[in-house]
Amino acid sequence: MPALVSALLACTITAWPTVSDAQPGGSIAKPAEEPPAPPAPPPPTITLPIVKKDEGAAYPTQAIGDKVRDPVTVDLVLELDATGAVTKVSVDKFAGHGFDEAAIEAAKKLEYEPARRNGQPIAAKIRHKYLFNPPASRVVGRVATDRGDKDAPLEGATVTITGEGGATFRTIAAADGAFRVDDLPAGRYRITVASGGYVEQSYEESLDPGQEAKVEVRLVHEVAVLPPPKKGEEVDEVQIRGTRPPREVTKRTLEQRELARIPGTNGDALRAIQNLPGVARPPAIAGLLIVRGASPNETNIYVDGTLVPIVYHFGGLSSVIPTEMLEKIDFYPGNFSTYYGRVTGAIVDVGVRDPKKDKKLHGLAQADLIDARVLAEGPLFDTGWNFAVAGRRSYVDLWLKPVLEKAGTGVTTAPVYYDYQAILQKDFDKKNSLRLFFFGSDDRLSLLTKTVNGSNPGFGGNVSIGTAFYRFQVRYLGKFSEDTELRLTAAVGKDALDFSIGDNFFVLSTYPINPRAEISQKLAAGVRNNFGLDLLYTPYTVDVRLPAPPRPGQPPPGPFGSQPPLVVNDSDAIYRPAMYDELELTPWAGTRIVPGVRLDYAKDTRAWDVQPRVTVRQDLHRTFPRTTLKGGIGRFAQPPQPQETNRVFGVSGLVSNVANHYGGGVEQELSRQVEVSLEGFFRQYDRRVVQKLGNVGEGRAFGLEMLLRYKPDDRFFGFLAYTLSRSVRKDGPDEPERLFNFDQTHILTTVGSYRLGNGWEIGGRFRYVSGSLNTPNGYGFYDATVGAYIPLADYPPNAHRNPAFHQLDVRVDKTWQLSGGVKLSAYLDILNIYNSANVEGVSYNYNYTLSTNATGLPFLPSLGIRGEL
Amino acid sequence: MRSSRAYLGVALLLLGAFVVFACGGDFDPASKVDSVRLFAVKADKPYARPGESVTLEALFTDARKDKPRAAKLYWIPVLCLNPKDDLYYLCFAPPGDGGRQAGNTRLVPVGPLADAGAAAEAGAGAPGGDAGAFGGSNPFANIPTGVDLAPFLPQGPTFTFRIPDDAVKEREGSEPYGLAIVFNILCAGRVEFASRDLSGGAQQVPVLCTDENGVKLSPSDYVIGISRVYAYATRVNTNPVIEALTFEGKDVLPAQGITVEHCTEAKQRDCKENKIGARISDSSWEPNPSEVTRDGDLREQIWIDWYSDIGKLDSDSRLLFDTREGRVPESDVKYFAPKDPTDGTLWGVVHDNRGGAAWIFIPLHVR
Repeated sequence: MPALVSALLACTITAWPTVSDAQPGGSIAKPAEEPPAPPAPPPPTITLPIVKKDEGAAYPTQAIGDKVRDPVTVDLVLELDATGAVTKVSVDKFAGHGFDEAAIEAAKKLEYEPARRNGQPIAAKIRHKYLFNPPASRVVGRVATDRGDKDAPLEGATVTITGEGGATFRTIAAADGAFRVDDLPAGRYRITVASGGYVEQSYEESLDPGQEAKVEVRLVHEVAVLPPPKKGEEVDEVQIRGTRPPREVTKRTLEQRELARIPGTNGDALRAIQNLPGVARPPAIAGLLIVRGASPNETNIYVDGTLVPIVYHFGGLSSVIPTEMLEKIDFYPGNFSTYYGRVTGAIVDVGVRDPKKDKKLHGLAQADLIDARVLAEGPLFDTGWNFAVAGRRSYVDLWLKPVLEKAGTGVTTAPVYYDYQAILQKDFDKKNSLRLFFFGSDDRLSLLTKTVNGSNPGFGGNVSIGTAFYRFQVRYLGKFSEDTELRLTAAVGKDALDFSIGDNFFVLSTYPINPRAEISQKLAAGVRNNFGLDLLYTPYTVDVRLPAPPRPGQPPPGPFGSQPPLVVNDSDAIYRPAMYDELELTPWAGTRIVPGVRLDYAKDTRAWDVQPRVTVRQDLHRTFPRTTLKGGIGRFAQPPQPQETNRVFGVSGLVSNVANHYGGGVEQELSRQVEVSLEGFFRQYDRRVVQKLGNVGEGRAFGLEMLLRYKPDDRFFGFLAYTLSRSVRKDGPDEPERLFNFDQTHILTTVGSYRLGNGWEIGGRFRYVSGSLNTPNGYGFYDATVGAYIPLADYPPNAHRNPAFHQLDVRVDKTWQLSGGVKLSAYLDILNIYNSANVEGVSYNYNYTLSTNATGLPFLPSLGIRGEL
Repeated sequence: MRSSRAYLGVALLLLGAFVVFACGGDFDPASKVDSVRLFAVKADKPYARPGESVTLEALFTDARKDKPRAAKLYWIPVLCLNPKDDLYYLCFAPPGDGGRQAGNTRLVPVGPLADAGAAAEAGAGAPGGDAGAFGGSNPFANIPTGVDLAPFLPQGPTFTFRIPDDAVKEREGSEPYGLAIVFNILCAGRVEFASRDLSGGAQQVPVLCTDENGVKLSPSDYVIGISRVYAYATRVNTNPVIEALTFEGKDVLPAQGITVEHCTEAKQRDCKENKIGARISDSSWEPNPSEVTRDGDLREQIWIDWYSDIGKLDSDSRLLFDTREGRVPESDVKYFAPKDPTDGTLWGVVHDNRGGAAWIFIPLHVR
């Protein structure tokens, strides 16, 4: 980076005005003032001082740090002796940012031919100016291709660099793929790299004065990601992978094609998460996220930063936001950023995409055996706003209702769910955008079971479950300056849960208000600070009439409903403000350190939780094949759940659950398409709340995760995920350590999908998972009051494991490209193709003297069809 | 709110378990009676007042083909009063397992034992080894395992005790009440105290039914029963009233019973269906008071359990009254006669979900 700036030197003698000449280094001399009128006769002969040596002034480092991008002038007054030496320098017009000091330092080294009067050297006092122009910036880089296992430089690629004012600089990549553009004024640029036959790539880059930006570009062949819409060929419309390095140790991101094509998920993106390392297989017909041995309620689900209560509809059949609305899904199995809080487990943040901005109307309709959905999007007239609306409704009720009624069950409301989304979005300019998003979900089921469950006679009669939520979210993204970004989201909504069995019920209505703000400020080269506020205020009303819930590990308390129910009728508000600050440090190339701290307050505990966290990523090899070491440590607090602090169901005086996360691993590119990551984790629980007992619990979860991934290319994608883990809990100082209910030692998932051509694609998913835990029951007692046997449960609980789960799912897709831009596709998603009798639990006879394994879903095909415009 | 997720998760798991496990094994139904069976114990006052006398009555049978020893019903003459969180197993769990001391559970001797004046308070319990499971200062504390308890235990279908005057205690989230738990054992052998496994957890069976040599008998030879009687200061509950048992929609005379044709088909599903039901009085569907209600006042849930020692029933239990919907239509069960003519018994036990019970049993003739 050029350190010197050109200086403009203009000298005057206080009484004898002179003009200096241009100085080395491109300085230009010009008079600073008009010379005074000569005195009356006899006029003396005055010769102005002439610069003999001027090394120029160095552009101050401080000014670079302060990102001064305009030319700056410093006015000096110099006193010269009769030899022409500078004896005193003073600043006449200060400029700050280190310019004054740099000018003084440079002026002291000036050498002059002295001023003369009638040929005699004399002392003089003159003015001198230094003009500091910001040093030019530079972009250097290299263009490569995506083919082969080795670096394949791409000669001849055109690199276009466009400034905000429209100034354009172009260069051509050399034979080794290298390119270089010098003398760029500081500012924000768009760097576009294009080459015939490859997908053009663009990057935004902000150049500070004198900065050299390095850009490594790998162009993807057009066929690899965006195949031409040949007849019968599938077209991927969205790539969801972000490029900014994560703030977290592990951020799992699946690309759109992977999300939509993983067999066994019906193309549901959020269900695809369940295939990633660290995620346990949930029990059958339970849409739960069990991450790294954490309870499902230790994982928070966000939609663009707004907390939502559920992620899946009934039984995990599908998620509450359809895949078509998603831009990305960020999944953080642990050691997540301070941006997230109030849980000790994991985070799923669903990024909803903006409506398409190509000024065309688009539509989509899809139907399968479970549900049907529609989506429409496009411009909202000529307002500059774009819209998207979507909706989905299940029709499980159409076939399940007759089945249930035939089984003797009266069906008031058959199982039905629906969800809806509506977006309005506008980019006001390149720096500001506003989005209004309304979304929600509703699930309900109501039955009258005329038979009575022999083991739990109270678990019958009128059974209903209804859960619904909606959110209205406003999001503003703004760039105040080159280095300052603001992200504001505010959401209001309602969650409703209505659950009843017989005369027991749980009716909850909450009205969460969740404003968030984050300001991201680049403080210096390689230093960015993120400060945020995360407020949660939730008024609620709750009506509960339920038996006391059993504690984990507790022996069977007796048939459901055999004890008088406890009753709560309450209205209050949950108030949980939080703030966080996080630094993103890149002290040198390939290193990224993210220290931060989050402060959470919970009204119910009346305490602050201070949670320091830090993550580190170090590239050992920055270019292909990239090798990255990563690690993190942090403290995570989760306030007790309302029922745990409730005077009836819980206990007072609780503090937050705490978990300390430790993680470390390595990521390695094996080829252009294949990468592997290996990570170890350890989570230590303290102050774990045990129902009715207080913060007496402890626990640990630890394991290893491996992900071997073949990134999508024009034909194939696939991955192999393996997790080895152990999760244990202790429910009190004197209680024995027990395996956590969802502990699964081995979780192996392998997925692959291949495009055969002519619009055909076939994929498979194979899973092998350690069996779920069970506590064998035996002949025990007979509750003669309600007429049901109470089993004698083995001790300690969860000491036995069901046989291992293994299952192969297969998916076949066929796509037709029709005229008029219409695309039609159909798929057949077959669960459990070899009909593995996987054990989900143990079924007992009426008095627990006989048992047999209860198996999960059998061979189950699902057919779907989809049309897109 | 996170609690909604927690409860929804529990609800879905319960529902999922119900669906999955309902598809479980092909076992003999609970309605098939071929062993020692305790069907029900009813209290003459399901909700008693403090100081009131309560009589428990048991319905049981011995339907074993071979009966080397007669089955007798023994009562443990100790009231377990207000165990912590109403957990029955804390009546006999030692303090270390959260038993009497932890929960301030009171053991109140009844009958002859009460004459000793020993209202055994919590905490003085058995050390967990040889002493009687219902340890404390009551006489059982000194009886080691292996001793036949029969001489110390009241026998017969009924057992009477008095609710202590101070039985009712304050509860969070509920009207104050007291809970008295009474244990009994229907045993075709000897009754002994069981030794306690120190590492075996809180829920251990306190008594055994053994043969003469102390060998534990099989589950078809004994039943250990638990009965709960609640005490409220003002709240009352009465047992449901069975007006009649019906056969093909017509009332059955109890002494006469039901006579059906034997089945001549190869497969039972092809046999003639005989509809059997029970007519319960409307007054049996009592209000179920609660501080919190929704959709109007709550009422009891009432169901009937069916048992038969011959033939087969298509359902073990049927709902008669739903909490909200009221009387449930089509609540009859289908009875399938065996292939051979024989005589047996049909039992119907009606429960409400507040501890009330009533029963009827009639002869069953297969021609």
